[in-house]
Amino acid sequence: MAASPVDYVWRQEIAPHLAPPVRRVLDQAPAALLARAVELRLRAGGPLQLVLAAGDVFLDHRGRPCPPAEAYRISGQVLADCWQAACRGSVYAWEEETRQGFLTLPGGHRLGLAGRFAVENGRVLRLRHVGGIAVRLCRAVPGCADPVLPSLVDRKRGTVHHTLIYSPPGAGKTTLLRDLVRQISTGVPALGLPGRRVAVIDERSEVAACREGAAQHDLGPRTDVLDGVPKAEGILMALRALNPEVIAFDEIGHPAEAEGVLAALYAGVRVITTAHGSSRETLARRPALRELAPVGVFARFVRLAYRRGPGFVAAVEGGARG
Amino acid sequence: MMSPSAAGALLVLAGCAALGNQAALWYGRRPRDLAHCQACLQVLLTEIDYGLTPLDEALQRAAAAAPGPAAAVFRMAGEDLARTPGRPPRQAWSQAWRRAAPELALSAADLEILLALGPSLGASDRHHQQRHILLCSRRLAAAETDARAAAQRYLRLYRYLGVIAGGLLAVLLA
Repeated sequence: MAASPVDYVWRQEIAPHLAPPVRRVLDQAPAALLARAVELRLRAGGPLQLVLAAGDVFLDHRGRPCPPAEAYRISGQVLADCWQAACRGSVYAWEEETRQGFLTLPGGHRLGLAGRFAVENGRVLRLRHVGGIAVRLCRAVPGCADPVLPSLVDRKRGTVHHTLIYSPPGAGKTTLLRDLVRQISTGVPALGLPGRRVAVIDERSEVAACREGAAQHDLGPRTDVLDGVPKAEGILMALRALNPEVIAFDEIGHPAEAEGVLAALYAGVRVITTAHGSSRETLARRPALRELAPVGVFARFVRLAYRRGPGFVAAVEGGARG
Repeated sequence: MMSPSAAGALLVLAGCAALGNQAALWYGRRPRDLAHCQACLQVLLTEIDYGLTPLDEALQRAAAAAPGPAAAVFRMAGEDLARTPGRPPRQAWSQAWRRAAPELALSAADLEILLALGPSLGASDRHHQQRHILLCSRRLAAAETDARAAAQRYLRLYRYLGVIAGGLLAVLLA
């Protein structure tokens, strides 16, 4: 599947899910600017902001870059309309996503929420007032895994090592994971890697960006996607039903997911996952990874950094099994 | 052969009777239109509460399931939302009612009840949607009760009034 030009993605995939006033601004914004934007930030009473790898840009009501004080201001009503537009006019149909604070748009783009939430007994019940929206662009970058893949292939067994990709938020973990899945599923004969059956547990629909069950990103010919399924449960479902050789999922965090990883490990299935973290030390403090540490599951750690733009590979490190 | 003055008197009588009949018909149609609105809202509530159906589809299904003049408004609003991604439902809702209002026998107060639902339509969770729609339905039911009483009171009155006024005017003009 060919990647769409990024300005097209903004105008055709993201803008229709925003309120008309914001859409008008984006429609008039320069294509070259949109092509470099990775995030859109909307805050009640705040300026319309695009986040680029090189820094932030504010847009006025005609979509022209301008100082923050002259930028188009987002009213509370426009912000609420944006949220409702993203929910296809039907906030009630996205209650669970609202409680979790984000929504995945068609194309896999993530719309995150800030604001006043109603909480009862420690559980988020509903969103009372939208205070801010962050739209993060999801883009498939075929080939972005090329620099790391040779280090991740277990040539002896013709598969991949158990791998953890980590970085602070926004550095391209999901993008890298997506391309790894595609290449592992397709196979890379030059690296001695035949195509492998991959099961993707895509709880937040970000990796495959499924719509009505069909992946919108190219994940290779041997990939099955469990879309919208909680990761811990999805790993067990995949092991039971899909006979995978590799299981991939985004953002390991909950201890139950660590149990899923162990189940995969004992079943002889390779695992590739991601985690937020800036160093191996901070990773070791995360509950799920703390549970996995004694077993030394991961043979490879891929550290990404944002220093030179998203997806920049800082290092591939060997783990206990490396 | 009828004299011109007699023909004129007959025309005046017929015109006034028609006017009276039209006013009477409006009173007769209002309870029916209010009942249709409630039927559509009931289906809409089911679609939202049980089906979690997206609003554009839910409105169109409500229109299909509960026929009547009010169904056209639900269909119009649903089609508008489906056609224009990102359009705030309150705008589609109010535009559809304002366009269709002349075709319906609804008072300004009835229309206000329906328009008041617009800002909350689709804008909150299931629980709140249920409360807003039920509140609207209850207010419409109360309006329907009033409308039935008004119909009993005024339906015949306007019909007779038209004929009597026409007769009087014809006599005066003759």
